[in-house]
Amino acid sequence: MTNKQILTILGILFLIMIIGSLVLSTWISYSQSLRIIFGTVHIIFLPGFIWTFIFFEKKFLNIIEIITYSIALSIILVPFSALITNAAGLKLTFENTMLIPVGICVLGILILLLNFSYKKTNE
Amino acid sequence: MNKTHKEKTSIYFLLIAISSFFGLLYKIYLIIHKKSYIAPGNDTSTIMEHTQWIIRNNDYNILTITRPFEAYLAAIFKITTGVSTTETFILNTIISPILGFLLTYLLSLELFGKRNIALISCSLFSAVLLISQVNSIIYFSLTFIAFLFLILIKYLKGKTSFFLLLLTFVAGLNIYSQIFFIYLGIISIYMFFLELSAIKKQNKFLIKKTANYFLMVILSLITGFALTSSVFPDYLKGFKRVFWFLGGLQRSSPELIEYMYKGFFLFIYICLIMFSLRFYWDKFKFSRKSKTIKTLFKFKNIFLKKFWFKYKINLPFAILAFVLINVVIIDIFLLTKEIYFFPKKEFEPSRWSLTFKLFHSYLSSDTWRNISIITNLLALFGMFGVLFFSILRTKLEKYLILILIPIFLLFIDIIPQTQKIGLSNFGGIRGLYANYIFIIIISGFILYKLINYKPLSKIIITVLVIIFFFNSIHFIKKISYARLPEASFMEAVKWFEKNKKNNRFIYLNAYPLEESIAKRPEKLDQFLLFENMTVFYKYFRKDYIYTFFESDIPFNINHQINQKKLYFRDIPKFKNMLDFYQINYLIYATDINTGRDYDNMKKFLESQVKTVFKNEKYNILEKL
Repeated sequence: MTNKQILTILGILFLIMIIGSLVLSTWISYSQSLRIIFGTVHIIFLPGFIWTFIFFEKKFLNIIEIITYSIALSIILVPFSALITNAAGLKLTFENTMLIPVGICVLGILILLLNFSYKKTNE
Repeated sequence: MNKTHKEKTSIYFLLIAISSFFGLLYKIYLIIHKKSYIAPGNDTSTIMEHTQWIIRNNDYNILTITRPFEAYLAAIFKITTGVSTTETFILNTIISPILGFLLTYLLSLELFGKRNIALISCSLFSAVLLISQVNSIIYFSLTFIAFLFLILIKYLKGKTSFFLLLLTFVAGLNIYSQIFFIYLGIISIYMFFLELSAIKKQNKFLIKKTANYFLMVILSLITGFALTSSVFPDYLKGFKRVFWFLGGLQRSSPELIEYMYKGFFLFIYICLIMFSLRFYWDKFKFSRKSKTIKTLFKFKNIFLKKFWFKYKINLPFAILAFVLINVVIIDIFLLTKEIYFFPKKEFEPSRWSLTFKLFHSYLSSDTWRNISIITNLLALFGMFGVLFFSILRTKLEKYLILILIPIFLLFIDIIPQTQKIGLSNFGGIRGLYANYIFIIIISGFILYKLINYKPLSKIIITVLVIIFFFNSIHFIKKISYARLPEASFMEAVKWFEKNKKNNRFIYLNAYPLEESIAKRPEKLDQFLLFENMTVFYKYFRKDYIYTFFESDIPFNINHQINQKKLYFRDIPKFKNMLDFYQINYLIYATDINTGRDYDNMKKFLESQVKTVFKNEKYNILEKL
């Protein structure tokens, strides 16, 4: 899987999210539909999506694997982090629940960048 | 099979898989629009209770958080998206089928390395989901088991890291500990033999992988305990809970399974310690000359000599075989128990399968029981055949198809008793679902082979199509049933929704317990058709069931009800409870007519409430 293909997947996902929000807004308010769609992707897709590239070699992945691992890893990582942070005393407010997946993503990106620079140095 | 034929088959299966995926999406659509079933099960209210508890985050009274991962996920989903607790069902309902479909495909591909088998398997997964009720919470947990296996196989092949394996197992422990422990046992036994094989071959890569696995088991147990203990105020209870690997098995046959699994785990833990130590001793170059090490190595050699596998084991086959052998052994145990301990006990007529209903008129319960035994024995021999004679696999494949057919029949639901006595005994229906994916994958393989063996395929596929056909009728029946729930109850609840002054009411049901369990899913499914209404507690007493309904409210209430041990017979207590929770309405089934409790209740109802709605079967009563 090349970088271009990964960006295409993200683009398609974004498009689906927008269309989904529009469809959903026929039943509920637009802001609510945006919150549901983007919130869902934010929790059950994005964190796993980034970590998939940490745990698996990018060149061996195909689109089905990326989607599956993204969902499954998000299901693991998000509650896991929430459980730990909650046990450490952080309350589950709206802001915090938004920040937990962001934190996971940022950490993942940092690891990916470190990996990348390490590989570059070795080359 | 020539190349053109192969390509055609591939396109054919691809089309089937795509259409079955759309079938799944349609099922999800039906569920979201409340036109099809969501079976809530007992766990749903528990998870929702935990979810609510996590959101409030100020109450540490609940001691039995069995699945913190699910509760946390639901809580985060609820807070982020702003949906009601009722709608957190939808998260699981959407994730489970889609993730299950994809995981079945990937796992099957990883096991057999053939795209066609993977396509058949995921199509079968869709078929199973289409004909069965979707249990939002349970399916969610059990789909995860497939991911666990996938990661394990990837790890053994060196395609992923140790950390991911650890993370997945820790998650498994926290998502569904009972089922997880069963699989942990099965996998550990397999890994034990795999390590023996690796030592014999001096395959350092595999020795490292398997030894790491046992290290991972220890680490995941410690991490799991650390995580759960953070939500358990009582450490001893938390500890018990983490190691209470038999928890999910208590409901069906406690003694037998308990002893079996205790033995199972004792064996695993001994192996685990032995092998982890051996590997790490080697790794860190401890003195090989010491007496203890020499004795250990001597023991290892004796052990290898005694229990050495003569045959080459095919990895994917062996993993599947171990899972299924275990299932079938339990099945045999339970069948034996059913036959010898409860010979006259009638099987509960299945409410799931039309095939059963059709054939039950012609066959007695005993005949069905015999069919179950024969089927399971055949499956057992088939599985052992796969495992122990895998060297002869190419020769046996032709016959294995016939031997393994019963497994396909098991999952297709032609033998409904297995739900009662066999596969479902990992703790209710969960066990059946837990094994679905593996049975589905095996079935995918069988179907693939059937296509290669042309003479067999015509007859067997015809039989399978007939089975599918009957079950499909059942599926259609379920949808139409869900669209037309019991009219009188609908009428009552609609009146309530229109006229209610607050959102709290109690539904009093009066069926004896056994009967109520049988009827409950249908009734609760109807309830879930209504917007913003949550089944939040079902309180079982000897003779009666209280089902409390409310919309999105704090769930601590039901816990307190539980603590107070409310008795139906104790009318003043019942009245106090109504006052305390400000419940002004009762939906009261007019067919409550059993025993003296009825008289007490009748007196209470006459003096304390007035009827505000009445139809053929239900009264809605308002507290005076």
